[in-house]
Amino acid sequence: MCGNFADTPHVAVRGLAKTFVLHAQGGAVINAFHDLELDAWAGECLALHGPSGSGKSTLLRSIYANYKPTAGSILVRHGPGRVDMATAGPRTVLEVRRDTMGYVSQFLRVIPRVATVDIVAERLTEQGINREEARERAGALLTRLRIPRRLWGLAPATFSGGEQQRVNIARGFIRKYPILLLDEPTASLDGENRNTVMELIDEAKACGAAVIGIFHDDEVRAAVADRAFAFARHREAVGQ
Amino acid sequence: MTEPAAVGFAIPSASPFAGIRDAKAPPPADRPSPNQGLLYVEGVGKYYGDRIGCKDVSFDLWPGEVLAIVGESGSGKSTLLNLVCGRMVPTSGKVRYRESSGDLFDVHKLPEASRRRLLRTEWGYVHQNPRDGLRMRVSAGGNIGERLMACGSRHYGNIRKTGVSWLDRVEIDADRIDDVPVSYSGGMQQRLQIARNLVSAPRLVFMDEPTGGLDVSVQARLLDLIRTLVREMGLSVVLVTHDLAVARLLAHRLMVMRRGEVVESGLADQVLDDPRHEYTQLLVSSVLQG
Repeated sequence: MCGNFADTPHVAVRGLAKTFVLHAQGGAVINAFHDLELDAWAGECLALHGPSGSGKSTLLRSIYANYKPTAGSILVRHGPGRVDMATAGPRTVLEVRRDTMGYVSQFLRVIPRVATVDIVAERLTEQGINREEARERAGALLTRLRIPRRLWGLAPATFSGGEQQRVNIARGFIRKYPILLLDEPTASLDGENRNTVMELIDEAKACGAAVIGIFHDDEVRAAVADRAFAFARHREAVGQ
Repeated sequence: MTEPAAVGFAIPSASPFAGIRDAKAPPPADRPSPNQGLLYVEGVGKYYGDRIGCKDVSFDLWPGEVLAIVGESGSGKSTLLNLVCGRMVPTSGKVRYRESSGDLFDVHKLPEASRRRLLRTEWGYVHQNPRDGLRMRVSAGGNIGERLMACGSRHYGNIRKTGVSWLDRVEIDADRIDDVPVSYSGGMQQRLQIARNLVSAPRLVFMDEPTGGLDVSVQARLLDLIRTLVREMGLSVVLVTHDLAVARLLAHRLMVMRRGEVVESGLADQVLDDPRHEYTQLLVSSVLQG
């Protein structure tokens, strides 16, 4: 998955706008952002910076096609071609997520009863890697993130916030995704684990990944980010 | 991955469509390629006089895809499921299915016997109430074996072995194989119904509220089981549910129905996290946080 693409960005956002219309609240309209443009290149980490509520997570979710932008395009390098995540159909989006783009959200969405090691290994088995090898690699990464072996067989529902977040991180970093979206990956981690996550980000970059992240922690941001993209304002409610 | 189906029976080559293929040969444009769909639903509607059961619904389903149809009771989702699987005849539109041989057939033009055969072999149908999908006075082993025999299996020892292996797969103790389903709990009955449906390695499974009416802890176990089997077997599923969490966990795509019409559809997590239609927003915001 390591690759070198010097000529075009891995992610190119152009004229992007996202508006939420809340029907239950009298049709209130919220402008998360508009006319947003940014590029993310192979091997670099772009930090999204701005006050809470300024649209950083909304942008990440839009790039992942978890949110549907109102206007604009999000061109993503996928295999030999490019895909516009703003308009791609469900099948294409799922393919991009499987092969090209990883996303570490702030919270782990727990799947009932599935063992921690399998939650992480699933990202490899869906690529066709056999279960034994997938579990082995998942275990190695969990070890690195200091999740003790005795927890691997358990579903993470009862884990602490920090442990769940590390399972989430393992799920995002187990594959060498060419594009990696990180939403506050170190938010609930202690110092040692924070360092491990910074190492993982550096390794992803060295492997040619374009990383776009939101980092609450100034120290982490300074250490991993090559550039910053500033969100200036709070989102505006523009009335009915 | 264990593959209990590999114990000495095979899906017979005799097709439910045998004898009608020549009469209904599809046009060359419908010939399959590996990417092509399994099921095509085109403008399907059902009217009861003036009342709309469901109106102008279209979707297609590819191998390995799970589509969830969500909505409140009375929204038309069960009507749609019945139309798609051929139990009900639509007032308008058509449903075509690509048989394992690669040919496309209009589901509603199949003779009843062929359609029933399809439901016993290439298709599965998991009812909300296991009593509708099981023979309650026949042993668990018999319930599974019946489906195998419908697929041409005749060797008693092999049928029993497959039965034991499937009970294990749906987490029912092998020593319950000779018990009748009335002696099972609701969750076990539902798991047995799933085993009965999947034993023939179907290509397309319809599920109508498969976790409805079960305790939450039993639901979680069943959901995990369905999720695992669907992935391991690469099943295509049309799932009807009013439970958005079930849809999120199992489905790739969703269709939201209200008053017989599809009001919003798309990628499952996008529809649930960024709902745009007023009704979808209402549904999503009405979910109780556990």
